[in-house]
Amino acid sequence: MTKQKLTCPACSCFCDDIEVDIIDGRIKSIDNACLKGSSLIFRTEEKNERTSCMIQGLDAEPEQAIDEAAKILLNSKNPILFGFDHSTTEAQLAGIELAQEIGGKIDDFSSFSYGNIIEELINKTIPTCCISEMDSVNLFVYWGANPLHSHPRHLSNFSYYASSGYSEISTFRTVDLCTIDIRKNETALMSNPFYRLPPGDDAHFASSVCKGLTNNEDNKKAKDFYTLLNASSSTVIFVGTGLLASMGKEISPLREMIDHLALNIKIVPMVDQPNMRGFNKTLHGITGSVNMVDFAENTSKNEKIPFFQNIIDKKVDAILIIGADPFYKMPLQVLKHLDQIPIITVDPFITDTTKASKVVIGSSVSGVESEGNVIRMDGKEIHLPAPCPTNRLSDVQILKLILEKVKA
Amino acid sequence: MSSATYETELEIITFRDAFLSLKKHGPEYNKAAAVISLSEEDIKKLNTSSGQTIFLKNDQGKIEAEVKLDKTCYTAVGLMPASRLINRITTVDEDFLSLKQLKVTAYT
Repeated sequence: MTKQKLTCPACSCFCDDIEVDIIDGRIKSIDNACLKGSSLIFRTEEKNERTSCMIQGLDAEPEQAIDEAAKILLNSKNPILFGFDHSTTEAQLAGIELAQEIGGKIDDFSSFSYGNIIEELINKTIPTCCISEMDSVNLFVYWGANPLHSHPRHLSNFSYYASSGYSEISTFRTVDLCTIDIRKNETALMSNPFYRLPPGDDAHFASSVCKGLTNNEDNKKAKDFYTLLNASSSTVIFVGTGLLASMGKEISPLREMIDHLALNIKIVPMVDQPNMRGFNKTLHGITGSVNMVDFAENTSKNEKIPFFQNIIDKKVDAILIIGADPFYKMPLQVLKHLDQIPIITVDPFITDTTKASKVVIGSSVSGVESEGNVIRMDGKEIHLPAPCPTNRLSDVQILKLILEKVKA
Repeated sequence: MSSATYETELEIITFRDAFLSLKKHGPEYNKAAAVISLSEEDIKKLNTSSGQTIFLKNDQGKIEAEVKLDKTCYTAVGLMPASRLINRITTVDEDFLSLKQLKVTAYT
């Protein structure tokens, strides 16, 4: 038996203190991982959870499935590549190259969640910081986020409980935890203060905070939050999907609040998909856009049409999905439009998406069976080692083989 | 004996439930996904109580959910975990930030 270090690939925290006991190349026990992480890592060992390579529901050799995938993409006039949020940065690069080669579109889940805010962070129009720079922070705010369910070790590894200002004895504590949400979630129960906002009121709340104390007689919560921010010498606001869904695509009220207050406030997105920030950064580095790029006619343009809208508008005739399970997350209203479109899925596990796919290519699990690099939610690049190598192809190898076939 | 229908308009807000997203199949998943937290006022309007089943419908379809009282919940808001069940009646708006727009009629 050997004990090895593993960087958990289950969420965008990428906790690097996981230890696994390995016997005969397989993981037998895990230390330090949360429920989400241990579930993913143990799932790699469950043979009935793993998908093989398949063509139209029948088992196939990886080479046959890759050939079929290349044929579908070559015969398509409007292909789209979607996902990549669970893929390594190397696979994302290979995916972008493939989309360029076939003149297709490429997109991920960020087009209707974190895309706008990550673009602002990349363009440095919103201040941000790395987790390693948070030791002097004395106010952590979770806005529209519930890390206990989305990123279970976030509080203990990266923010409130990891801070040097935290003490079990409240008298000695020099760091505060605040939550802003529509519901009194588990994080709110631990926070003091907690501000409960009505649905869709987040933009108004941010604007009210800008007004400060004097012109804000009717909004006690905004005045209290303003006072709290002013009392803090260093604040980090973790932005969750609740805030983004409430504000829609217009996140300017948040940016204006930060600009107006002119305090030491940094923003870190609670990116829900592990390597979403990596996809946005990689695509932005090549095309200048973080998502929704169309490579038709040998150019790249941001078409501003998210994946699901492309499907509803019948603008795609082949889909390659990798590192995502959109069939689990998609509304039935969108799924209805997919009957006639051939779908190729690259995934290590059996998912709702693999069940609906014409071609399935079973891959290794990045961070457990194959190595690669990813970008953590705070923008730091992290290397994922592979403590349990396998003979399964990695996502980057699969995409490169498809690319070779397409080029041939 | 005919029973009267009680109904009210709700905006559904979904939230992430780690336990639900880990167990994606089976009766446990279906049971946990079909729970809606409502305010005391909405429960009264629907003439129902915690543990009872209500129907949620819009132009996409109809689902059933078990009522749970949440005293901190806003009136005219229903809180449900994100799941395959709620996806059946989720509508797509122009920005595809549709869950904030998810309006349903709840009735018993």
